[in-house]
Order: sequence, then structure tokens, then C-alpha cells
Amino acid sequence: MNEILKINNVKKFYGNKTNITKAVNGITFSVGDGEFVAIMEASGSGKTTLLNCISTIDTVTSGNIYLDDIDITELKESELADFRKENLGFIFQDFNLLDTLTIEENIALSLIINGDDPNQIDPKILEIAKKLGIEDILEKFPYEVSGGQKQRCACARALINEPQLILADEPTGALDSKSSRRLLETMSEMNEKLSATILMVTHDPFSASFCKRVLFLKDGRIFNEIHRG
Amino acid sequence: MLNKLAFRNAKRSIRDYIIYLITVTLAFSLIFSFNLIIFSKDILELSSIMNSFQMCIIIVSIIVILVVGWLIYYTMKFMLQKRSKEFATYMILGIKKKQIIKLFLLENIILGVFSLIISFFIGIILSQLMTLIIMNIFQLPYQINFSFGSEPILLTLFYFCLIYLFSLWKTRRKIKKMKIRDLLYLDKTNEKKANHISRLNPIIFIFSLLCGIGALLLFHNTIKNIMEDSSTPSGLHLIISLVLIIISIYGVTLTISDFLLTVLMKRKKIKYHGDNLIIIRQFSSKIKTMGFTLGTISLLVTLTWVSLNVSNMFYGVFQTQTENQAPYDIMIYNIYSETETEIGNDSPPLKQYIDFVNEYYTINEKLTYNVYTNRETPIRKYISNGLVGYQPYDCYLKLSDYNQLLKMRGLKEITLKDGEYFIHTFRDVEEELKTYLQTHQTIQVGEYTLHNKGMTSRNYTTAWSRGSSYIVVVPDQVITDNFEIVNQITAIDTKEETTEEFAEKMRKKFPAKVYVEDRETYQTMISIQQVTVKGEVESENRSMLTITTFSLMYLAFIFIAVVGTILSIQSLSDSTKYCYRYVTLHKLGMDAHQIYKTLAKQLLFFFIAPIIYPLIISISTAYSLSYMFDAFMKSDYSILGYVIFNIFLFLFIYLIYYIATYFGFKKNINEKIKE
Repeated sequence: MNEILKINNVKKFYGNKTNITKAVNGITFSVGDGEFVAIMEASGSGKTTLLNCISTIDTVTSGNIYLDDIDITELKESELADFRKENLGFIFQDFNLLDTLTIEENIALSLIINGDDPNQIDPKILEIAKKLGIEDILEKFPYEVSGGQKQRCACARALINEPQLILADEPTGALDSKSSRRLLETMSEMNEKLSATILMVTHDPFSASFCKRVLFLKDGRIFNEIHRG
Repeated sequence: MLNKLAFRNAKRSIRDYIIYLITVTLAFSLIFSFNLIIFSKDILELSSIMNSFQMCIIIVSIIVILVVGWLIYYTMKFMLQKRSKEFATYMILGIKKKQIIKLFLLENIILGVFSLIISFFIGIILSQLMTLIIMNIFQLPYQINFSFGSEPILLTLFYFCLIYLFSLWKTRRKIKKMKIRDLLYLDKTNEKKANHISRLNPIIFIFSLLCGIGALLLFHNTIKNIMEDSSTPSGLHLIISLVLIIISIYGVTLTISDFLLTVLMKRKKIKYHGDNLIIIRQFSSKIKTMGFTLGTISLLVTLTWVSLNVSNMFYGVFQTQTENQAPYDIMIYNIYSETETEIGNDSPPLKQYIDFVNEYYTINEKLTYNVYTNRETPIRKYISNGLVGYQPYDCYLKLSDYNQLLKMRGLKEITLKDGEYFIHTFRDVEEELKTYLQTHQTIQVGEYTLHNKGMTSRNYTTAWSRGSSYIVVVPDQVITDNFEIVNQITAIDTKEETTEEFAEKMRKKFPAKVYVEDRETYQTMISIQQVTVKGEVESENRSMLTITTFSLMYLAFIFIAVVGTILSIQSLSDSTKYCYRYVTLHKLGMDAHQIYKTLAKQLLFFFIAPIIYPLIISISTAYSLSYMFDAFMKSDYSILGYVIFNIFLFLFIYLIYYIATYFGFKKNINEKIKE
């Protein structure tokens, strides 16, 4: 399998000389094209820090992160935003939908930022919305739909650019168990039918159980890895 | 303990509310400086009507107090919202609500007193500056004078207490009603939910706009009618048009976002182009939340521009009025006998007047001239009634008198050949006279047929032809015994400058007369002042100029500052409250530079939205008012110049608020993005 993401001995330390927090302490792993991988950790900040480093929102203390053979730790500040919009899709715990935009417009946001042809935007949204089962709520505002629907809108927004990698940070964190299950099923479908590569961090074993591979993190290091049969 | 906490919090607030504090300080500085001026002996003694300056500024101050009070209450509401969680925490910890109210009010009083103390110093400097300007208007020398009585301070303190008592009382009531839960969620309740585009609002928008256009047309026609025929009742029309304008301002502001959404959102190319979608949506959500406040802001902006325009027009009027009304040091009207009292006219003979003048001044030059008519109307019958004045016939001046009068004013004399005539006219009749001259090559005056030599409206004075808006100058021989004298006027040029006091003395000695005027069909009683003294007219005009321009400018500056501050506070509070929007955009791949660009555009929209409609209204009303004022201006373009100048003056100050807000906002979201 073609490896899309390669993490090579990444470290991220916080604090000063007397009090250092080693949030990520020498992690190495890779994610193949079309994989659905979870990083699990009971608690602590390590997994989100790692995800932030991969998503170029945070910088590493040392080590390298390759996405499609580009070392993103070497990218300049000015290149990062373009890199994000061209290669990454995001699903956040608290959805991060703009409350002033309708669901449709929220999905369009990625395309607009990417500078897509305005005429192509509507058909693309409709296509993805149908796949995620949210075509009926496109005209609504975020406050008018349920948490699960919001998160599927976020999924649509992440998918619509056909990014190399989708990063999901505790996507079920703000959902009840029924909505969580539906969302995870949706994400599995995204992975299987649309061949989206997804890297998800979570503390929830149930969420992780939907993934093909789970990496366990403890004290900033990977201490176990399991594959679903 | 409470005091210490209040003091510390107040200190912290200075950083967060610096724009607000600067505005409040400037507002109090202006209030104080105007109070210093209206109690200044130097100013009050400038002329007898300067006493009304005091009254005028006090009335204006009441409006200022209301507007500044609104600003302070509005800001307190914001501070409360921002710190609601902090107060809820205090309450959970067991501090009583009463104490929290005390704490919050104390903090605001500390901030207020702090601004007030600074404004006393700035106010003194400002008042010196304004006194200098006023002295300059009166063409008097000025020496800096820092001494003042207790009245200005007491009055300013009184205003301060009024403003703060009102705001503190309102805020106190607001907190008192709140429960811990309300406080905990207060910072989440501000923005109304974005709504679906209303179908009704775009219709209301168009209706409001039409209502505004109708109101402006009504205003225009009413002003025009007043100018053309002052006897038409117009008060009701003016009030209706003003009320309609106000309704239209609120209507337009409240519904413009739905109108824009309806128009723009249908066009995908516009909607999805660049950051349009984000900007339009943020903007409309902002308008939905604070529509009424924005309406009030639009109203204040309209008042600002109208005040500035009107104040400049008055400035223009009073600048030219002295030349128009009293071009010569002393003018004596209609005393026909040189040495004896006339039969049927109980005025003393002219000699007594001249002797009286001689007691006070040295007479350089003196000319008694007549305004004649032959009770015919070769020109007048072609000119609109509203423009020509009350004289029913064309009036004539002899060329020799006219040239002598020009010479006395230091103007160039004219020459007329036999068979030529010349028109000197007031500016508002000029257009109609031009049309008349195009179609009428000659006029018949008595036995003579005369060709027009030319016409001018420069340096016209009503002194030449009481009751007529233009005068026809003819060669001396044209005036024969068949002509009767309409007015006999004596113009005196004195060596010394005449004064207001002299005018009073002269009036006491020679009181105004009441005449019964026979105008063929009806009779009217008119009281005519028989003496005009330049010193008095000048001082009146200068006083009026000072009173009108200063009062209106005062209002205008307070309004601009309050409007700028409220928009700024509102935006800056959003910068902390809604920064997650920008963080999301950043995560989705918008770089910081693009976000700042979007932000600048978004703020620009927010700042421009409440001023576009007022701009249209102010230009339109200025155009209407020009019917009233244009004739008194130095040139055709004076009013246009004032309007353009005022637009830029406003925009300049407004721009400062915009830039300050942009940088404050940028700093706030920058911190979040970098986190």
C-alpha cells in the first residue's frame, strides 16, 4: 500500500528548562492510502498535540512529518495555509461550523477558500450531501439541525475538496451514542466507498473500534498497535 | 477590599476600552470648553445678542448629554456582558449581588472621574482655541486668559452627574434583575440566530426607500415653495417630511440586509466569489442583531452631516450679509427734508441726524441719493413674484449716483452711453433676468428706449433699492420730473469704525417709524428702521455666525465621536466573542493575510452601511436648502464646496475610528490564531 503519511520520530515538548512536558516523545508511524486509522489515548494532551502537528497548526520540536513525500515540518509559514487547503480536510469535536452560514454555505466554504469555479460549487455540494444523507437540510442554519447532522456537514466540508488526508479530532466528542454510531458508520463509508484516508484521534474505544487499525498512545509514545481482523 | 478590586478592574478596563475612554474624555472636554466660553465675559461682551449664545449652547448641551449618556449606558451594557462570567463567579463564591453592583458601578465611576479630570485640562486648551477663533471672527485681538469662575465647572459637574446617574441607574436595574444563570450565559445571548431571508423585508426595504424619496421630494418642494411664495403654509409639510425621513432611515437600516441577501444570494457568481459569502453573511447577522442601534446611528450620522452643512451655509450667509445689508458706515432712509420737519412726516430733518453723527464720528464722505420709479414694470412683469421683493414697480438709480456709491465702497465705476442701461441684481434673480435679457433687447423707460449694457450680481446691496431685488441704472437724463421717488437714502462714510453702542444711541434718539403702505389693492403697516449702522449689523452677523456654526459644529463632533465609538466597541467585542470564526477559517486553509483582508472588508461594510443612506439624505437636503441659501453665497459653487468639505471632514474622523478598530480587532484574532 502506498504510504501517504509518514511520521518520523516526532517530538513536541512544552514548558521551560525546569518543567518540561513531553506531550509527544518520539513517535514514528505511517498511514497508507485509503486507511482508517485511530490514535487512542486514555487522557492527556499528546494525541491532540500530535494531530495539530500533522495538520500544520502546530510545529514540532524535532522529527519529520511527510505527507505524500513532502516534509511539512520544512514548509514556510506562508506555504502552510495553501498546503492545508489543498491537502487536508478537518473534522473537529465541536463541529466548527460558522453560525452565520447555512449548511450548504458551510460546505461551500472549503471550495470558496480554494478558489473553485462558482458554477461548479452547487453540483459538488449536492453530490456529497446525497452521499452523506444531508441533502434535505442544506438550506438550514447550524442551530436548526442536530449535532449528528452538524458533524456530517463537517464531514462533507472535509471531503468536498477530495483531500489526501482527513484529520478528525474526537469527532464524536459532542454527540450522543446514537448519533456517534451513525457518524462513525458514515466515516467508515467515506473510507470504504470514497476511499478517503482518515486519521482520527479519540479516547473512546467504541469510536476506535470502527477503524481498521488503532495506535495506542501513552506518555507521548506509541506502546501498542492493533489491526482489525 | 472592594475599593481596591474596583480600582484594579478599572485600570484593566482602560486597556480594553481605550477608544471609548478617549471619546468620553473628548466629549467632556468639549462640554467643559463650551461651558467656559458661554460664561466668559470676553465672549459675552462681544455683542448684545451673544447672550443667546449661552442659551443656545445649553440647549445643544441637553442633546449632547442625551447622546453621550446613551453611549455610556451602551458601553456599560457591553462591559457587563463581557464580564458576566466573572460576576457569576463572585456570586457563586458568595459575594452579595449588592456588593457586585457596587463594585461594577464604582469601577465605572472611577473611569468616568478619570476622564472628567483629564477633560478639564483639555477643555481649557480647547476653549482658548475656540475663543481665539471667535475673536478672529470679530476681528479683535486676543490674549490668552486662563482665569474662569466656578460656573463652568459646576455646570460641567452637573452634566456629568446627570449622565452618570442615568447610566448607573439603568445598569443597576439591569443587574438587579439578573440571576446567576443569566450572568453565566449572558455572553452567549448577544447575537440573534441567523435567520432565513425574510420575504417581507425586501418589500419593506423598497417601501422605506420610496418613503424616503417621497419625503425628500416633499422637503424639497416645501422649501422651494417657501422661497417662491412665503405666504404658503409649510410647517406641517416640513414636519411630515422629517418624520417620514426618520421612519425611512430606520426602515432601510433594518431591512437592508435581507434586501442584499435576496439580490446577491441568488447570483452564484457573486455569492461564491472570493470572501463575499462570509462578508455578506456576517454583515447581515450583525444588522439583524443591532438593527435598531444601527438605525439610530444612521440618524445621528444624518444629523451630523445636515448640521455641518447648515452651519456652513449660515457661515456663508453671515459672511456676506454685512456687505449686503450695510455696505456704508451709516445709512439714513427716507428723511426727505434737509432742515425742517416735513408735513405728514414727523421725522426730524436730516440735518439733525447728520449733526448727531458728527458728535461721535468724523464724516469722510456723504451722499444722498434717490431711488426712482415711473410706476411701470417693463422688466418686473417677467420676473416671478417670490423673487422680486415688495416693490411693485421697476426701480431706477441715476448713473451719477450709482457711480458715486460704487466709489464710496472702493469699487470700479461703470460708463453708460446714452440709450444704455445696466442691471445690478441680487443673486437669486440673476437667472430669470438672464432669460429676460435673452428675449428682450430693449426697454422703454419714459421717453427713452434703452439697450442693455450688462448685468452683475457682485457686491449687490439691498441698501440701493429697499424692497426690490434688482436695480436698473440709467443715464441721469432718463429720470425726468414724471418719476417719483420711492426711497431717499443718505449714505455716510465715517473715518472711525461705527459701533453697536452708537446704533443704540441713534435709535433712541430717532426711533423707528410705522408706515401705512399703500400697495394699490391692500394696505400694510410696516415698521422701517430709519438708520442702519454698519458696526451693529456687523456685530449681529458675527454673533449669529458664531452662535449657529459653533452650536451645530459642537453637535456634529459629538455625534461623529459617539457613532464611531459605538461601532468600534461593538466590533471589538465581537473580536473576542466570535474569534472562533476566524480560527475556523484559518484551520480550513485561509492564511492570516487573507483573514485580515476579509476582516478589513467586513469592518468596512459595517462602518459604511450606516452612512450611505445618510449621505444621500444630506446631499439631497443640502440641495433643497440651497434654494434658501444660494442667493446669499459668494459663488454658485459655495454650497457644493461646503457639502464636499463636510463629507471629507466626517470621513476623516470616521476613518480614524475605523483604523483603530481594525488594528484592535486584528490584534485580538491574531492572538487566537497564533495559539
